[in-house]
Amino acid sequence: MSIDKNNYEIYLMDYLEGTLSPNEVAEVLLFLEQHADIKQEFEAMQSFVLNSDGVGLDKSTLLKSENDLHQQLLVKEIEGDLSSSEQVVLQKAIKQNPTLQREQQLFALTKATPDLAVTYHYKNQLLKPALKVTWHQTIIRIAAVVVLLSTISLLYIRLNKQEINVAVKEESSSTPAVKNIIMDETQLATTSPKENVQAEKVNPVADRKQGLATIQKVMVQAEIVSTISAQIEKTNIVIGKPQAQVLPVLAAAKAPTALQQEQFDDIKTLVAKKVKQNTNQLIGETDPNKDVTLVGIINKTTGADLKINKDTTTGRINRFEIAALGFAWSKK
Amino acid sequence: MTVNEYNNCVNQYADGVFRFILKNIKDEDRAKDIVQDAFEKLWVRLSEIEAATVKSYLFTTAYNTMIDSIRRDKFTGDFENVKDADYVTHNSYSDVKEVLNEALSKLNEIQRSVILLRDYEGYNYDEIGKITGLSESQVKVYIYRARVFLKEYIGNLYQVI
Repeated sequence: MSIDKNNYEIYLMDYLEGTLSPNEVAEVLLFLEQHADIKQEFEAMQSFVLNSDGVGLDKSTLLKSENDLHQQLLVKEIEGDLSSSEQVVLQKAIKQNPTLQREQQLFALTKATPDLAVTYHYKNQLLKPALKVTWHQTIIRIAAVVVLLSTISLLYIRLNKQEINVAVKEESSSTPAVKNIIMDETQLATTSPKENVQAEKVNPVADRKQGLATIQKVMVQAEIVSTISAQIEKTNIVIGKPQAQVLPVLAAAKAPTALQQEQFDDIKTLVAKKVKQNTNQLIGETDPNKDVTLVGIINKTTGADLKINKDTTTGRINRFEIAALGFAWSKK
Repeated sequence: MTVNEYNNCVNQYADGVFRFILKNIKDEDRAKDIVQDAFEKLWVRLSEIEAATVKSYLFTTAYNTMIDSIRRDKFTGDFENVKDADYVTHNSYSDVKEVLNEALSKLNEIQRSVILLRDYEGYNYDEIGKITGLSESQVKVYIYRARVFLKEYIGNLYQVI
């Protein structure tokens, strides 16, 4: 390939870079002589070539001397950063070069010490008053804590009772008697203050374990009431007939640990009602409100289990009782 | 921190912070304001700051306030209030301490601060870096240059004397 008007730029650039062979250089020079316009352009381009001569970094600023090394070691010594090997190097250098000893002394003088006589005189303006607690504030705080703890305890007790009641209700919903008892207890715990007092008597201990034990006892009692009531309903109790079927059951119910007094009273009321009902049926009395025991039917009764009182003036019975069980009925 | 701990800090560190700032700016009123400002900032952030880091917090706050104050003054120089003492070089020294004080005043703010924190308060490089916002290696370089400058300054004066 030879130089022509289509590729002369490449040749000229390589010429400037100095990468052409002698033959190619001769060819370029000849081409420039033959084309005056390109020669002029080439000369203008040559004038813009940057010359880097004289521009460069002063490396002397980066160079380090022995003296610099010694100064660095002396500063480290002042700062307490000198390692044991550096200590050896420094001591050796000081022995060899006595001027370093003076340098060492001068560096020691650069250690500044605070002037303790200079103090800040306005500390009082910075100080903040500490919070003082008076004795009556302390009492108020203690009282507030006591009230708070008491309230929390009461709430806890009530919540505990309600939880137990709800649990029992769910577990024993098949027994109406239990339901009634539980409802009563819930009401005692949540209604009027008077009833609350009663509730605490019934279940005075807030402890959950004791609460559960009480509930279990109530459930047992309710079951006894239910059993006895069912038996009384089945039994044809009338005045003047032996009460063989009922009396043993009533005797069991009378055992002191079995039922509460009010439950036993309920059973006795049930017996009295049953006696009147059955006696009415026996004599053909259709009016359920008529108290046949007051009209002389009792007179036919001679059972040892019944104790009948008569009004001495009127001759009418005004009271009867199942003597062995403490069951009694009286005319109002 | 509690109020009592804060008050202990006032008694314990106010002098040190004041000396550090006063040595840097040589203006007692401004140094007083800067110390007050640092403790006010501490009071505002009392619940956030641990007692163990409070000294560093006070020096950092005071240093930053001081630098801001110096920069502000550079833009709003009041020639009427310039103290002669700031620009007059004393040629008679009674002891080395005065020479060193003179030399310290010739350092730039950063070099002077790192030297004072190092010598007055005994902070290590890392702690000085946290207070001044510099890296540990930058602190070392500033201390090195400051020591060499102080040594040269003191040495030259001794030669003259």
